[in-house]
Amino acid sequence: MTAVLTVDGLHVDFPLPGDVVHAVRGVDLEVRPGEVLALVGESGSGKSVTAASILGLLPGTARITAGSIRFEGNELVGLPEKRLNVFRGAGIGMIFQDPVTSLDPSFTIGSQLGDTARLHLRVSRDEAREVGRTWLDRVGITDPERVLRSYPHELSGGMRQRVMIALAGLSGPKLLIADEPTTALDATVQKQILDLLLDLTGETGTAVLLITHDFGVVSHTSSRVAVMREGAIVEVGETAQVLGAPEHPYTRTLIDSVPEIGQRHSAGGQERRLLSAAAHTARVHLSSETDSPRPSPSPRPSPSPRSGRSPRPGGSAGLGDSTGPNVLASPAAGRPILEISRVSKDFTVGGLGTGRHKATLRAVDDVTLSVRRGEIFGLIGESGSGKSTLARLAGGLLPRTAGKINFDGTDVAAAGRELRRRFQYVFQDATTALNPRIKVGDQIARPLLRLGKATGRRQAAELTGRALDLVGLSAGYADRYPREFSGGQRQRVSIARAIALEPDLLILDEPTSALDVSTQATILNLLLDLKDELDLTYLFIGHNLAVIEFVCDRIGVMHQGSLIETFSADELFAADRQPATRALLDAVLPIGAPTTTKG
Amino acid sequence: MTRQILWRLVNLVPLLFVISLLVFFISQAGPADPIKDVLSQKMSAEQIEQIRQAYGLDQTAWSQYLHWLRDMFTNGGGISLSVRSPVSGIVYPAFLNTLILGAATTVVTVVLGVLIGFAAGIRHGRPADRAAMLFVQIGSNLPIYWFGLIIIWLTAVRWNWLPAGGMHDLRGDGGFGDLLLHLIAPAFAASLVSMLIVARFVRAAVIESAQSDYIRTYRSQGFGRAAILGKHIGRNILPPIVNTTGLTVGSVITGVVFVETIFSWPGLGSVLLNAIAGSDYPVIQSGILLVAVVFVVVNLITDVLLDLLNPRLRHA
Amino acid sequence: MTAVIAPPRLRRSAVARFVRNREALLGLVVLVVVIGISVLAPWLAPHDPNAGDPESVLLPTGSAGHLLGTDDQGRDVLSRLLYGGRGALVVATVSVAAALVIGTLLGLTGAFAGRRTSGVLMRVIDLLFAFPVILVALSLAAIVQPGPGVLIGTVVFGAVPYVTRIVYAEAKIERGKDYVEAARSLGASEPAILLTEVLPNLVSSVVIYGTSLVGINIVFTASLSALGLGIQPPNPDWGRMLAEGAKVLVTGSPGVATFPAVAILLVALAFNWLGDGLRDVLNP
Repeated sequence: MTAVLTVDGLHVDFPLPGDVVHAVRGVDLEVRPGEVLALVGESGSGKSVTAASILGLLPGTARITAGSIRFEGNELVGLPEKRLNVFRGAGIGMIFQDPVTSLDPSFTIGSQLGDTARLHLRVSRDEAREVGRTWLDRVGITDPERVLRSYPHELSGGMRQRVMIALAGLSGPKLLIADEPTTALDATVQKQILDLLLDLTGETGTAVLLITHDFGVVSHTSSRVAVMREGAIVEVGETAQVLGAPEHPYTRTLIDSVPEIGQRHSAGGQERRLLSAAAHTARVHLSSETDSPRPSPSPRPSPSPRSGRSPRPGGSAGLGDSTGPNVLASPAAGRPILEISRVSKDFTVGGLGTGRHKATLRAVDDVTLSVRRGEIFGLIGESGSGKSTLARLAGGLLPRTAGKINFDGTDVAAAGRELRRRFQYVFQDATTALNPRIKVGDQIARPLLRLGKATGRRQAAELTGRALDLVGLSAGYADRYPREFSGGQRQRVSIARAIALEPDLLILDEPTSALDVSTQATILNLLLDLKDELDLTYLFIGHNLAVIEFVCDRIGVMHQGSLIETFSADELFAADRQPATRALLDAVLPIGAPTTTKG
Repeated sequence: MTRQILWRLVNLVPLLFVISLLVFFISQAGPADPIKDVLSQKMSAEQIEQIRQAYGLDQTAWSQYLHWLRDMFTNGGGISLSVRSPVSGIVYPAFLNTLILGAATTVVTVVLGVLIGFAAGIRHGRPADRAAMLFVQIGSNLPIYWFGLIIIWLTAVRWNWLPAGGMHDLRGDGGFGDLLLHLIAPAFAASLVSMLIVARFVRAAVIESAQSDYIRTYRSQGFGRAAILGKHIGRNILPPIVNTTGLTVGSVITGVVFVETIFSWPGLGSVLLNAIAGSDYPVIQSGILLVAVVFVVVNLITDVLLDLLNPRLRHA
Repeated sequence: MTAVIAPPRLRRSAVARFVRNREALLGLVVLVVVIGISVLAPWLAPHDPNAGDPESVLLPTGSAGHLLGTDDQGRDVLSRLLYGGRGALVVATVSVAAALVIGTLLGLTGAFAGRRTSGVLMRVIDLLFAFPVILVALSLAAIVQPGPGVLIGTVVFGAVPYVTRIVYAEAKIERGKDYVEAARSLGASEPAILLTEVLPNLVSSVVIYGTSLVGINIVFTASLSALGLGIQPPNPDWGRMLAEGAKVLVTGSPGVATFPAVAILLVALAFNWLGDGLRDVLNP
C-alpha cells in the first residue's frame, strides 16, 4: 500500500543572528493510509517543527533547507502558499496543542465552523451552520446550539479541543496531524479527547500523525511509532515492538524514565529509583545533554524496575544495601510535623470596573490533613482542584480564610525566622522561581543570612557551595545567572536554595511537571536521595498519578477544593476508592507493554 | 454591558469636577493680582475696588469658584480682561475652528496611520517594512514646527498647489471645497506625531495577530491570504486601532496648537497664546476647560467603543 | 558525586554586544560630540551668538566668515547653533530623569499596593496618559512666566504617565512570578523584595525607555520654545531658531530654520539609537 505522506531527508534550519539552529536534520517518515503514527520525542527534538513543515506552517524565519514531503504523490516542499492551500484542510487537517489560543477570540464558534464549511464544502450560509451543528454533535458536544453562539473564551479547554477536532474534521482530510493535542488538558479529559480522535478517524479511515512526548499516549493510540531526538529519528516500528523491546538505547532510557502505575510495588527490596544503572550508562554515552542523571548510590547491575507487578513483600523493605534511613520504613511511625485543620481559602473575583460581577470563589474548602515526620505525602487533583492553593497556604505564602495550619506545633502565619527556615517551598517552574537578574549563588546565600543560618558572607558562600554540591552542581557555578542553566539544572538550583537552609519539611509544588521525562526522572531520583541523606519530609503536589504513586508514601486526593480521601500509596487500587480518585486512576494511560526479555 | 457604560459615565462627574478645579486654580496661582495688569494707573482706590467687586475678586476662593463656574454656563465665561467683551465671543468661534482642524487631523491620523502600519506589518521584516519603519523613526523625531514650515514651502511656494495658510480664501466663495483645500496642509502637518504612533501600534498589532495561533489555524485550513488579512486579522486589530486612536487625542490636540500659528489658522491655539501674553485669565481658563472637556469626551467614546468590540463583554 | 554539571558560558561581554550594534555606537558618538560642542561652545563659536550685525543680514550659507550664513538680525547661524543645544539638552535630561524617578515610584506603588489604591492610581494615570500636554504648557505659562520652568514642568507631567505605565505593567508581571513569592517565603520584607528583587528586573526597561524619552522631548520642547512658551530670546536655542527662521524660510533663506531642525533630528535619533542599543545590551 502506498503511503499517504512520505517525508524524505527533511532538514529545517532556524537562522538566528550570527548562528543557525538545525532543528530537523534528515527526517524520513512514512504515514500509511488509515494508520495512527505517533512521533514521540522530548522538547527540542524537532517533532513539532517536522509537523509544522508538512503544511508549510513553520514559524518566523525557519526554512526547509533540504528534503521532500510528498502527500499522495504531490511534492509539498517549495510550493507557494496558494498551491499549498489546495492541500491544507481538504487533504491534510491539523490540530494544535493549545486550544485556548488556537481559536479566533473575536468570532463565534458557529462563525468559525461556518467559514470552514463554506470554504471546503461550497455550501450556503444556512447549510454551513447545519454542517457546524452536525459536527459539534459528532465531537460529542451535547448542546451544539449554545456552543455555536459562543465565543471561544466561554468554553472549557476540553470543549475547545473538541471544536478544533470538528474544524479539522469537517473538510474530510486524508491525513490529520495532531500536535500534542492533549498536552494542555487535564488527564481525565485527555483520554476522552484521544478516544474521540481515534473514533472519528477510524470511521473515515483518516490517517493520523500524532505528535507527543508521552509514551502513555503513544501506547494508547498508535499502531506505529517513530522516536525522535535532536532533529533525527532514532527508531521506527510497530508500537508494541518499540515499547516492548526498544532497539535504541535512547528509546529505552525514555521509557524507563517514566514511572508507571504500580511500579513502586515492583521495586521490591530495591532502592526506589527510576532508570536502571544499565540504562543510565547507555544514556550517558548517547546524550549530549548536560543534564545527565545522577547515578544511583548503589550502582550494582539490577533488573529493570518494570520487571513485573508483584506486590511489595510486606515488611521486607530495606533488605537491600541502601545506605540512608529506609525510604519504605513504616511512615506511620513519625509524629505529625505539619497539621492542617479545617482550612478554607476564598478568592474574590470581578467587581466594579472589571466588567464582571463580584463573586467569591472557594478554592480550598474545609481541608484537614497532617503530614508526618519522615514521610512523603502526595497531594493530587486536577487543575483547579485547589491542590496548589493548599500547598501555598501550607507554605505560608497565602493568608487563609479559615482554619489552622501548624508546623511543628506553631502557626505558620506567625512563624519566626527560626521556624520559617524549617519549612521550605519548591516551585513548579524554576525559570520564574529564580530571579533572572541575580546570580544563583546570591539567591541561595541571601536567605541564609536573612534567616540566620549563616553569620557572615564567608559562611554563607560555604553553605551555598555545599548545597550546590548536594544537588549535583559544582560550587563554581554560584556566580552564574539562571539563564545560563538548563531547565533541569535550574530546578536543581531551586532545590539547593531550599535545602541550604537545612529544613525539616519541603513543600514540592509539581517540581517536575515543567520538565522532560528523562530530566524528571533525574530530579525525582535526586529528591529521593536528598530525603535519605538529609532526613527530610516532603509534601509533594502533583497531577501525574504515576509519579505521585511512585514517589509518595501516602496520597491525598483533592477535588473541587475538598480533600476527598487520604490513603497509603499501597492502597491506591483498593476497592473502596472515591469516584474522583477512580477517575484519575482510569485516566492514566499506561505504557503497558511488557519490557524486553531482560535479565 | 449597559452597566459598564453607565459606570464609565458616572466616573466622568468627579473627573470633570477635578479638571474644572484645576483650571480655576490657574488664575489663583498666577500673579498675585490678575487684574493689576489691565488697570489704568489713574484709577482711584475706590474705582479699583469697584472693579474688584465686579470681578468677584473680593470673595473667598470657593465662592469665586462657584461664581466662575456659573459664568462658564450662563454668562459666556465672564468678561475678557483685555478685550472687555464676553469670553464666549472670543473663545467659541476659535474653538469651532480648532475642532474642524482637529477632526481633519484625526481623519488623517487614522487613515494614514492604519495604512502605513498595516502595509508595514504584513511585510514584516522585508525591505518595505524596514523602509517604512525608518520613515516612522525619522518622522517622529522631526520638530513639528519645522515640518509645518516645510509643508508650506513645498505645497504653497514651490509647487503652488495649496493655499499658504488661513481658513478661507478672502476672494473666494468661502464654501466647503475652499475649506477642505485649506485644511489639507495643516491637518497633515498636525498629524505627524499621532499618525506615526498609530502606524507603529497597528504594525505591531498586525504582526502579533499574524503570528498568533488562531491565524495559524486558519492557514492550516487552507484559507487564502486575502481572506485571513481582510476578515480575521482585520477584526482582531480593530480594538488596538480604536485604542491607539483614543490615546493619540492628546498628540492631535498638541499638534493642532503647534501648527495653528504656522498656518495662520484662526483657532483656539492662537487665541490662547495671545491671552497668555496678555494675562487674560478668563480667556485662558475657558479655552483650556473646553479642550479638556473635549479630551474627556473623546476618552469616553474610545472606552465605550472598546467595550463594544470586546466579545468578553458582549454576553455580560 | 560523579555527575557534576557544567553549564556553558553564554554571556558575551556587554561592551562587545554594544559595540557590535552599529546604530547604538553611532548614537553614542553623536551624543558625545554634541555634548562636547555644547560644553565647549564659547571656545568653538566664531562669533558672539547674540551680536547682530545690520550690515550682514541674511547672508547665504557658505559666506565668508559666516559658514552657515546669518539670520534676519545679522547674527551668525553657526555660532547660535553651537550654543543652541545647551538649554534643550539640560531641560530634557533633567526633566526625564525626574519623570523616571517619579514614574518608577508610582508604578511600583500601583503594582504592589492594595486593589483600591492601585485601581484609583492607575485610572488617573490612564487618563493622564493621553492628556494633551500642550494644555499643561499653556497653563504653566499662564501661572509662571514662559521659560525653562514651563518646559520642565510640561515634560515631567507628560512623561510620568508613560513611565508609570511601563513600570506598572512590568512590575505586575514580575510580582506574579514565583521568585517574588519565593523571596517572601524565605523571609524577605516587602521593601526588600521591591528594592532588591523586583527593581533590578525593571531598571533596564526604565533606562532604555528613558533614553528614547529624552530624544522625543528634545523635539517636543523645541516646538514649545518656537511657540514662545519655553526658552526666551535672545538666548540662542534650537527651538527659538526654528521660529526666528520661520519668517525667512519661505523667502529664500531656508538655512536659518533648517540647520537647527537637522540638529534636533540628529540628537533625537541618536538618543533613539542609543536606547535600542542599550536594549540589546541590557536585555539579552
